[in-house]
Amino acid sequence: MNLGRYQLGDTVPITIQTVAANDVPTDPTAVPTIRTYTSAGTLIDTDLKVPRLGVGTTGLFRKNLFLGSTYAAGKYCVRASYTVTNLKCPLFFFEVLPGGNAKGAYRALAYYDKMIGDLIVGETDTGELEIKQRPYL
Amino acid sequence: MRQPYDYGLVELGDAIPVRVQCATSADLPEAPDAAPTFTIYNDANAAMSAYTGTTSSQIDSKTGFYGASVTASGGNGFESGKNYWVKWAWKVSTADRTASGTFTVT
Repeated sequence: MNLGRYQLGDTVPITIQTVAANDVPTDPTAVPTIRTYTSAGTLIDTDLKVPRLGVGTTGLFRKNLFLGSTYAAGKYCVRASYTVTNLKCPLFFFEVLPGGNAKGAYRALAYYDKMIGDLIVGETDTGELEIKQRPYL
Repeated sequence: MRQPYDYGLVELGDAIPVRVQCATSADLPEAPDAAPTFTIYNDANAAMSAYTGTTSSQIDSKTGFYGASVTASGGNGFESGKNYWVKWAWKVSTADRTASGTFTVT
């Protein structure tokens, strides 16, 4: 399955429906895991666990894969693994386009009017705090 | 039933990685007798002989996980706006196995 095109800082939704040999949705013996590879076959993410999507959804799992600093523009392959009677390994593909920011977007911002100037404190998707000040010192 | 892999889009002249997970008809990963080979077909169902070949070695030591890189250049016979099929073939104990994938040149 092809998951489309993204930029750094985006999240790639990797949805896995685990099935038995007859394609009937079936819970696996353990949560699926994924490994991500570059176009050169270099391993990027190792055995990330894929959580269940919702309640009462037999065999439905989703991992929102954040495209942080370990990614760059290029094409990637995701190899998932799960076991329903036997091991199964579906493949997914996506592309990272140039642009975006490996820190993601701001998920919180606060403005402070201080003596030293105007401050904006923000928290990015990666959890980093950034402080922007005007005027600059 | 296994669906064909969708490798996505590639700009004319760029390389696109193609991957395959060798597996049984029940999707159980299996080790082929030798690295799988692949043939690319254009939308007129003609084989592009320049890209018939053997893939790289097994990726990440994962059973049956192989790949190759295809340079979708005009010099190699690729055209913008066309769809292409990748047919994978391998053998397990002399029994033939196949898988397929597709990509589009933009």
